[in-house]
Amino acid sequence: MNKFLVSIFFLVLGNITAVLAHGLNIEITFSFPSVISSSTYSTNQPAKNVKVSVFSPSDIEKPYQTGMTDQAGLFAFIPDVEGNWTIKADDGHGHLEEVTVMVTAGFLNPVKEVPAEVPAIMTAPAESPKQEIPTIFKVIVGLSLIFGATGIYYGIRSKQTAK
Amino acid sequence: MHISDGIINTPVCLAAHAVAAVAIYVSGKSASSEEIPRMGMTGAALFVVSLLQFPIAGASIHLGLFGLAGIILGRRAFPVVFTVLLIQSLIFQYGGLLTLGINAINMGSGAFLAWLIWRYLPISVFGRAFIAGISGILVPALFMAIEFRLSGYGSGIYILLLIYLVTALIEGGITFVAVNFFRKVKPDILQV
Repeated sequence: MNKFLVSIFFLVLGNITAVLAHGLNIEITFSFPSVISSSTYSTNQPAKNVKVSVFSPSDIEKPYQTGMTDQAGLFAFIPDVEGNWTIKADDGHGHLEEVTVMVTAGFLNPVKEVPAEVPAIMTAPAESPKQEIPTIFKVIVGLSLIFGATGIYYGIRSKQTAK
Repeated sequence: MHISDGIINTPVCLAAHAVAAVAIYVSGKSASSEEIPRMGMTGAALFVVSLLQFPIAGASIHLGLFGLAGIILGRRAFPVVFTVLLIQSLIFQYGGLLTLGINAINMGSGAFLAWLIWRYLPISVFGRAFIAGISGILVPALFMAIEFRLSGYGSGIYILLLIYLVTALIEGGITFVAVNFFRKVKPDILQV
């Protein structure tokens, strides 16, 4: 008898705990091309194995997709049209959560990603190796300086001699 | 052959600059209009020849031809050597600007002594040319070794003279050939 009462007590307590934990929250994140719903209880525990139904804006009667959340409370679907999508989560214990998300055309047709090969104009300029002046140019410059100095000296001496 | 900056202390370098300036003035003043083109051509030759490097005994050497410059220019060789060293320092980073005076004194002394040997040594013309060519390298090398020694380097620095001895012998031969050539085609170019 006592064992029966204890069992009833824990059964009721378990249900109370379950009911207290059944406040469902759904958070939506967009990760192209998927919309991901994350279902959690009000205790922040993931809502595992919760039935999820997704309704397209084009048909609000017939579910676009149904399924169960995974162990992390996640469920994902890929929308095909823009508009308000309805996501319903039912934990099977009489608690239902429903959210509506707006799927935009921009999400469905995002700008194409930058190709792996980045155009050269966008790449950071690599550290260019030090440009070494060819020796022949240095020689030419050196000889030019020598002959130039000679010419200047010659001009000065010529003026002095003329005076 | 070129002493770089940082080896010789700064006061000595500045003093060497002062000495070099006086030497340039004394040796370069009153150069005639006929001498100046010759100075320019000789300077250009020294500049180009110094760029020709040869590997010898694991070291890289290059010619200087300071002895031949002394034979051709006499005391006018000093400002020419100074100018060539200045341009080498600016363009090729040979030596340094701070040690330019010391380098000019070293190499200019070689040219000056070569001229004295060429002019006053009482031996044959080709003997004088050969010895002048040798001294044009060995004297600067000896000065450089002494300066390194005074700056705290070990006595092993004098081994450098052996390497420069090879260069000096080559330069002696080149000077010998050049003098022989000039005596045939243009004897007045030699400072006799």
